[in-house]
This record gives sequence, C-alpha cells and structure tokens, in this order.
Amino acid sequence: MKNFIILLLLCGTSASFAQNDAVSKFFKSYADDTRFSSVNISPKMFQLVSRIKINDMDADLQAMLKNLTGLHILSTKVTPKIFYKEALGKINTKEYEELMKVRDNGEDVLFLTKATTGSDKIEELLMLVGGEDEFSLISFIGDIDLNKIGRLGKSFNFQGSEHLEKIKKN
Amino acid sequence: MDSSKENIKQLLDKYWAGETSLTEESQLSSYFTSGKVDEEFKAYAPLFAFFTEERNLSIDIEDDILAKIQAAKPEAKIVSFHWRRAVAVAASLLLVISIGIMTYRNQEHKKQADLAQLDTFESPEQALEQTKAALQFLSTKMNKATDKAAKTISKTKSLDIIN
Repeated sequence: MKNFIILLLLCGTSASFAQNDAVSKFFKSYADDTRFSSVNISPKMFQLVSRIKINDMDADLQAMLKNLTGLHILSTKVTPKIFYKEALGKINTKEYEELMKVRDNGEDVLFLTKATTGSDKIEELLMLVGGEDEFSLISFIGDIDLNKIGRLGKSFNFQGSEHLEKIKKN
Repeated sequence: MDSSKENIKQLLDKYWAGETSLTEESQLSSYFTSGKVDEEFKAYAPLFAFFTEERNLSIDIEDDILAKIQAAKPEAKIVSFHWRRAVAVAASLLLVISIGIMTYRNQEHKKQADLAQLDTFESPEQALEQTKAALQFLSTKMNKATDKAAKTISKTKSLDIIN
C-alpha cells in the first residue's frame, strides 16, 4: 500500500516536470539577453487580434490567425551558428517531430511540429533558421494547417522579401 | 382405459419383464390408485401406490433443491470488509488527488503570469502586423524548402533517366 502511494506521487511529480520543455526554457533564458531581440504574443493578445476587423484579408491568412494562440520569436545576429546548434541540442525529440530540414546557401532551416498526444492535430510549429548572419527561432502555437501555410506563401511570394526585411528589424 | 382383469394381468406381466411403455405404466398406476383393484392384484397395490408417491416426491425434491440454490446465491456475494484498509485507501486517494490539483493550479497560475509578463506589444494591431510578418516569413521559408525538395527530386529523377 505504501509503495503504491509513493509510486503515484512519483508519477505526478515527474509528469509536472516534463511540461517545462527545453524550448520554453531556451526562450526564457534569452528573452532578456541584449544580444537577442524577442517577440512574444500571448493567447490573450490573440483574442484581441481576432476581434480586429479587416475586410481585404486573405481567407487562408484569416483562418490561420484564428487558430493561433501564441507566437514567440527569438533572433540574434551574434554568433548565429553557435546559437542554432545550442537550440538544436535542447529540442526534445520525443516531443517534437522533424517536418523538414533544408540547407540552402549556407543557411540551415529546420521545421518541427509538436502534435497532441494520440492525434495528428498540430499543437505547435517550431522553425529554426541558422544562417551566416542571423539565427532565429520562431514558435507558432495553435492548430496549424500546414497546407494553408503553403498556399499563404504562394499568394505572398512576390512580396515575401519585403516582409522578411520587416522581421529582421525587430 | 381397459381395466379388465386380463388386460391388467397382461400389463403386469409386461411390467415385470420391464417391457412396458410410459403410458402403460401410468395406466397401471392409475388403476392401482383408483381403489377399484381386483382381489387378485391387491397385493401389488401398495407397491404401485409407493411408486407414484415417490415419483411425485422426486419432482418435489428437485424443486426444493433448485429453490435452495437460488436462495443461497445472494449470500455468496458478501465480501469481507476491512474498515481500516478502506480508510487508508480513501486517505491516500484524497492525498494524491489534492496534490495533483494543487500542482496543476500552480502551473496554470505560473503559465498565465509568464504569458502576461511576456507580451511584447500593447496593441492588437501591432501584434497582428508582427504575426502576419512572421507567418509570411514562415511561408516563404517553407515554400523555399518544398521547392528545393521538389528540385532535388526532379534532379534525381533525371539522373535515373540517364542511368
């Protein structure tokens, strides 16, 4: 009987520890670092965002925004390759599944997804970009439709570079 | 029913030989219990009276046994109940559940506090712009990646053709 209670307690505590995943720790440890620029948008802010009425918005973009509940961005221009490797080492491969990994002109891009246990529904999409001059880690939290992302890209391709510049300024 | 002397005698002979059918046996027993038994067969009357009685009895016994079995069934369900053990189980369950609820609540509070602290923007419009930019950054990177994958595939395919 005593053993049973101890076992139950152990199960409870280990489960609660497991929820502090490495990626959010990574975010926390560098969010206040002056070498990094960070962006965090909370679920509450996304609720407010969903109330904004925009008439000429792309339907796919609107659907994506509706399903998003959080956004975290961390980027730096200081030793990007080293930070890329550090972030790579901290990802829990049990939790995150690799979606795509590309190396293009010396820039590594890695897409990872975290699915709800027991279903295909995506909980989080994590993107790591490790280039020669910049490292960025972007986490999209929410039910993300991967097909819609592709379509989004096609409709915005011609102005994609412009927005790329925008994000780099932050 | 033919209860003539000859017929009864015939039936009796058959009975002693063990060749009577069930209907014939019941004919005999009803004859002997009717009270109008011929003097010649009087000696057998108690025997047949006993047989009929016993037949009824055996049916009664079966019913009795069945009834007793059915009455005994619920009694078998009684489980020995340990008062102290039950209290111990209840207490430990309560402890585990309360600890679980406490840790869960703590975490929720922590999460909410963290998120409230971490909001970068004050207006949802700014947050929207940033989100749009991030989504477009994501989609351009992803399309680049899929394009590259498609090109690599077509390259390997053309190589296959050459080979």
